[in-house]
Amino acid sequence: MTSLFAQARPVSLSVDAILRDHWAVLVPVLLGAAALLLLLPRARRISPVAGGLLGGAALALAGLWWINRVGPLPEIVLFYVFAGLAVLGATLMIVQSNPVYAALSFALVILASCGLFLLLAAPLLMAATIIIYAGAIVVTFLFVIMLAQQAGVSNADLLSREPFLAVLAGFVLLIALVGVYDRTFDKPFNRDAYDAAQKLHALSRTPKLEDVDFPAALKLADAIDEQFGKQEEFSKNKVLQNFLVNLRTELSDSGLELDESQKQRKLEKIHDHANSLSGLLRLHPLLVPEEGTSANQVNAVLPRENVRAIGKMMFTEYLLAFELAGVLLLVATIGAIVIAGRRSTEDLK
Amino acid sequence: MSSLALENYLIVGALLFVLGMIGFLTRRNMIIMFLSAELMLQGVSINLLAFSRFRGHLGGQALVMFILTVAACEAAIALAMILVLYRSRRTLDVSVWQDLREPTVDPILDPEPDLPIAPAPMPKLTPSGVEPKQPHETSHV
Amino acid sequence: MFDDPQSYLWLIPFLPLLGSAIIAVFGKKFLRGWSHVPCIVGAVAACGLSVLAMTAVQSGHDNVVWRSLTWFQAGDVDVKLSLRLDALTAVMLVTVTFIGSWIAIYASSYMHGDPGYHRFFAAVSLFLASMTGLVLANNFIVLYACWEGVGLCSYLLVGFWFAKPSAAAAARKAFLVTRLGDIGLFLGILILWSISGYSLEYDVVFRLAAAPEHRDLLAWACVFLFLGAVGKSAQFPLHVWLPDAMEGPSPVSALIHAATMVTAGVYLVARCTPLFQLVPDVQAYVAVTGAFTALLAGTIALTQTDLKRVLAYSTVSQLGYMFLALGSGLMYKNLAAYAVAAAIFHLVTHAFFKALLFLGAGSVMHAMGDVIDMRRFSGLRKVLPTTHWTFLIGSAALAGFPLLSGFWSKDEILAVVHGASSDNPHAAIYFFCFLAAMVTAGMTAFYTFRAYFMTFWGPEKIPQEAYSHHHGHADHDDHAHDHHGHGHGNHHAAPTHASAEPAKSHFESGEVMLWPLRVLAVGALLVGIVLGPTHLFFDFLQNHWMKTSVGFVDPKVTLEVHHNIPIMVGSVLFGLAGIGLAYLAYVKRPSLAAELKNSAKFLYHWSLNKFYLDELFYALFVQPLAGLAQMLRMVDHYLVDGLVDAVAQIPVVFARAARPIQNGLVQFYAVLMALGLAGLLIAILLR
Repeated sequence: MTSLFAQARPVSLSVDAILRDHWAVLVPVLLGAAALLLLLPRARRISPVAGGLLGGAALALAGLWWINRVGPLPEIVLFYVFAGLAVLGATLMIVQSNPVYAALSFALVILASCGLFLLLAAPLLMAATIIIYAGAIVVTFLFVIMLAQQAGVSNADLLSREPFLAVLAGFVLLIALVGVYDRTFDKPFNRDAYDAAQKLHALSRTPKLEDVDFPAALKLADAIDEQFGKQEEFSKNKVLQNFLVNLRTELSDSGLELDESQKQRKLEKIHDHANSLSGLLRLHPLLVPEEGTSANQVNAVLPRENVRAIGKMMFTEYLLAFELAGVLLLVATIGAIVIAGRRSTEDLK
Repeated sequence: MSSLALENYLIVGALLFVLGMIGFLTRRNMIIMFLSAELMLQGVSINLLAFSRFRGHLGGQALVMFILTVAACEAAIALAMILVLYRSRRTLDVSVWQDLREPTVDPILDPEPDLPIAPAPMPKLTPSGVEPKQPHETSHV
Repeated sequence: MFDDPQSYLWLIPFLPLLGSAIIAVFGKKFLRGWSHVPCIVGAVAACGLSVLAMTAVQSGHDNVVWRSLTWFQAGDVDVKLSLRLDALTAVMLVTVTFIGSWIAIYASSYMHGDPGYHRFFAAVSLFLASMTGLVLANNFIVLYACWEGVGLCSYLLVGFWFAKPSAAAAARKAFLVTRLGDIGLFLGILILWSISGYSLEYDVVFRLAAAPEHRDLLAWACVFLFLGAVGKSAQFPLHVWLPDAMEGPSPVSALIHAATMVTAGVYLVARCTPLFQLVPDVQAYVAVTGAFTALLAGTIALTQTDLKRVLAYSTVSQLGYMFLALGSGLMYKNLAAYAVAAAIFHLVTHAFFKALLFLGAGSVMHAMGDVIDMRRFSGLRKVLPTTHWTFLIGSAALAGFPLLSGFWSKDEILAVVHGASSDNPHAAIYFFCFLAAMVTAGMTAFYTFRAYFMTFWGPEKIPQEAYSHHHGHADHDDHAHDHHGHGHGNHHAAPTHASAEPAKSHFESGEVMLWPLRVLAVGALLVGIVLGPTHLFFDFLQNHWMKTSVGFVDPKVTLEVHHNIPIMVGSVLFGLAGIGLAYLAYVKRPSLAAELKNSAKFLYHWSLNKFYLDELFYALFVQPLAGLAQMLRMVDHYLVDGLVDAVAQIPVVFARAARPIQNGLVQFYAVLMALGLAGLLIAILLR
C-alpha cells in the first residue's frame, strides 16, 4: 500500500533545497493564505472575486499536488465525498417539506451521482445526466412546482403517508440488499483458495526479496492450484489461471543472483500478482472479467475512448433498442402535448 | 485494499434506491413522489455503471443511456399528467385520488397539521439583467 | 384419376362440406342471394362423382375401402376415417346426391328472399356432406358421427324459422325423439364393439360378431341398432316427431324428411343384414314394427287435412314397408338377399316420388301463400298445371298404380312378406303383417288420392293469402319479389299490391322450381320399370354387394325374383279400390266423405287425433319427467344452491375483514408491495 508517508525521505534544510523540492506544497499554501486574507471582512471592502479566484486556485493546486503525490488515494476520497453528498441530498430531498428545496436537493443528488459516474469511467453519461436531469428535468419540475403551488406549503407536504411502514419496508429491503452483497462479496466463492491467496499476499509484503519465504509461498500457490482444479468455474477463467501461472513462474526462482533493482522489480511483481489474485478470489469467478485487468486493480479496463465506444455499441449491438428509444421519445412528446394540452377542467369531470 | 471495491458502489446505489422508495411511499406531493422515482432510477444507474466498470463491459453504460431516455419520456408524461390532475382538483396531494377504494370503505381524510401554514419561502434567485441604481449610501464609522 | 374410386371417394362428402363452410363464412356478408351456388355446385359435383363411383362399382371396384386418416386412437381402439364403396353405398350415394341436387335447385327459387337464405343452404350443404358420409362410412363410429350430423342438420332445418314457436318446438321434438333412438344405436355399437374384439370396422364386426357364442348379445345389439333406426326413420313409437317436422321449409321436408335422412335407419338395418339375419326373433320384431307402423300411419293419414302432414304420415307408412321387408329377410328361406334388395329398391323409388310429392306440396304452398290446409283450397289443376301433372304422377306412383315405380317396389315387398309367412316359427306373425301390408296398400292409395282430389279437383277455391302473399316470377312483379321473399308468417312484410289480383297462370311457380318437379316425375315414372322387372337393380346389389361383402350367410344362392302374380293383382286391386273410393268421396259425391265420417265417428276421431299418441306420450313420459324435473329443481334450488351459497359466504366473511385494505390510496398499495418484496427477499436470504 502506498501511503502518504511511505516515500518520505530525509530532507536537507537549505532554503533553496526546500524551494526546489517543495515548491508544489508551498505555492498552494501561500495562495490559500492570501485568499483568506482577501476574503476576511474588513472596513474597506475588497471585491470577493479576487479572493475567491485565489482560493480556488489554491485548492486546485493543492488537489493537483495531492493527486500527483499519493496516487490512487483521491479516488477513495472523491468516492466518499460524492457518495456522502448523494446520500445527504437524497435524505434532504425526501424530508424537505418545501417541494422547491426538495427539487434542489434532487439536483444535488444528481450532481453527486454524476461524480460517481465519472469515477466509474463514464464521462459521457456524466455529461448526459447533468444536462438531462439537472439541466432539463429539474428545471421543468421547478416550473411545474411554481405553476401549481402558489398557496404555500400545503397539508400534503407536512404530513407523510404511512411513514413507519414505509421506512420499515425500505430498510428491510436495504438490509436484504446489503445482506446479499455481504454474502456475495465477503464470503469468497472458495474460502480455501481465498485464504491461501491472502496468506501469499501477506508473505510478499516484505521490504526485501530475501525476506520472502519461497517454500511456504510455493506451497500456498500449490494449494490455490489444487482448489482451482476442484471447481470448473476457476479452470474456465483465463484471467485467474494466468495470474496463478505468472505467480508460480516468479516463485519458482528465488532470484538471489539478480542485482538490487531487478530484485526490487521481481518483488513488486510477486506482490502485485498476489494482490490481484487475492482480490479476484474475493469475487465469484463469474464476476471476474475475462479480459485485460490492470495489474494493481480489480477493476476491469474500459475502452479509453468512451464516447466512441458507446456510440459504436449503440449503433451496432443496440441499434434496435436505440431506434425504439427514439420512437418512445416521439410518442412521449406527442403524449405530453396531448395530455397537458387540454385546457378545460371539465374534461375530467 | 487500495482501491474501491464493487460493493462500495452497489451500496451507494442501494441507499439511493431505498431512499427514493421511502420518499415515494411517504410523500404525498405528486411532484416529490415523482422525484423519488427518479432517485430510484439514479440508484439503479449507479449499480449498472459499477457493474459495467468492474466487468469491463460497456453494456451497462448503454443501458444507463436508455434509462436516461426513458426517464426523460417519463418526466414529460408524468408532468403533463400532474398538470392535468392539478387542474382537476387544484392540489398536488395524491391522497385526494382515492376513488379506487371499495365502495363500502370510508375515504381517508388526513387531519389538519397543528403547524401554522406559512407561505412557502421561495428561494431567492439572482435577478437577471442589470440591477437598478440605488441611491448611494455612505458609512460613517 | 377416375379409374380408381379411392382417389375421389373422399371428395363426395368433402365437396358439400366445403360448400357449407364457404356459405357459412361468406354467406351473410358476401354471397347473400348467391348463397345457393356453392351448395348446388357441391351437390352436383358430388352427384357426378357418385355416378362415377357407381360405374366403378359396376366395373368391379365393388369392395373399395379408403382409409387414410386415423381419427383417434385410444388403447386398442383405432378409429379410422375410413370410407367404403360397394353397391349399397353407390345406390344410396346416387339417390341422395341426385335428389339432393334437384332439391337444392328447387330451393334456390323457393327460399328466394328469405332472410336466412345463406343459413338454409349452409345447413343443406352440411346435410348432404353428413348424409353421404353416413352411407360411405366403413365403421360404426364414423357412421354414428354422420348419423348425429344429419340429426343436427335436421334440427337446424326443421327449426329454420326459429322465431315461430311451433317450428322451434318441432325442431326440439325432432331432435330429442331421435336422440332416444340414437342412445339405442350407441348401445348397439358398444355391444358390437365388445363382442367383436374391440373393432368397429364393418367387415371385422360382421365376421367376429357372427360367432355362435355371441348370439344372445348379438340379438340385443340388433335390437338396439334397430332402436336407432326406429328413432331416425320415425317408426312406432318414435314416429311422432316426423309429422311435426313439417314445420320446416318444404324442400327440407322433401330432402330430409322424405327422401334421404329418414331412410338412414333402413340403410343401417340393410347394412347390418349379416347380423340381423342371424337373429330371426329380432327380424320378426322388425317386421312387426314395420307393419304396425305402416298400418297406423296409413290410418292416421286418412283424415289429416294438412297436405304436408298427409305426406309425412305416408312417409312413415312407407318406411314401415321398408322395415317390413327388411324384417322378412329370413335366412333359411333364402329370402335375406331378396328382402334387403326389395327394401332398398323401395327406398330408391320412394325417394323419387315422395320428394316429388313434397316439392309439389311446396309448390302448392308457395302459390297459396303458405296455406297448406286442404280444406281452404281446391280445384287447382287449372291454376297450377305443371304442379298438378307432376303431383298426379307422384300420387299414382305412391298409390302403386300399375307400371309406375311404386308399383314395382311395393310388389316386391309384398312378395317377400308373403314368402316369409309360411314354414317358419313366426309364420303367423308374418301372415298378419302381410294382411296389414295389403290393407295399407289400399289405404295408401285412398289417402294419396284423397289429398290429390281435395287439392286439384272440385270447385276452384283460392285462399285470400294467395293474393296478398303471392309473389310471382313474372317480370312485372320484380319489385315485390325483391322485397318480400317467400312469405312465412312473421317474416313477411305487408304486401304492397294486395288488391292487384294477378292472372291465374302467375300462381304457378317459376321454371327453376318446375324443372326439378319434371325431372323427379320422370324418375317416379321410369325408375321402377327400368330397374325392377329388368332385374338391373337386384343384380347390381347382389353381384357387387352381397356376394363380395363379408357376412352374408349364403351369397352364392342366386337371387330369385318372386313375381307373385296373385299378390300383384291383389295389391293393384286394393290400390285401385282406394283410388276409386277417393274419387267417389271427394269428386263425385262429396257428401260421401261426410257420411263415411259419421258412420265411423269413433275411428275418425282416433285417426284425426293421431290415435292420441302424442297425448299418450305426453301423459306417460313428458308429465312424469316434468314432475321429476320440478322435484329435482327444488332439490337443486334449496339443497344444492343452499350449500353452495353457504360455502360462498366464507370468502365473503373474510373479504369483509380484508376490505379496509382496499382504501384506494395508491401509496398504501405501494407500501404493501414493498413490504411484500422485502419479506420475499429476506425469506430468500435466510433460506
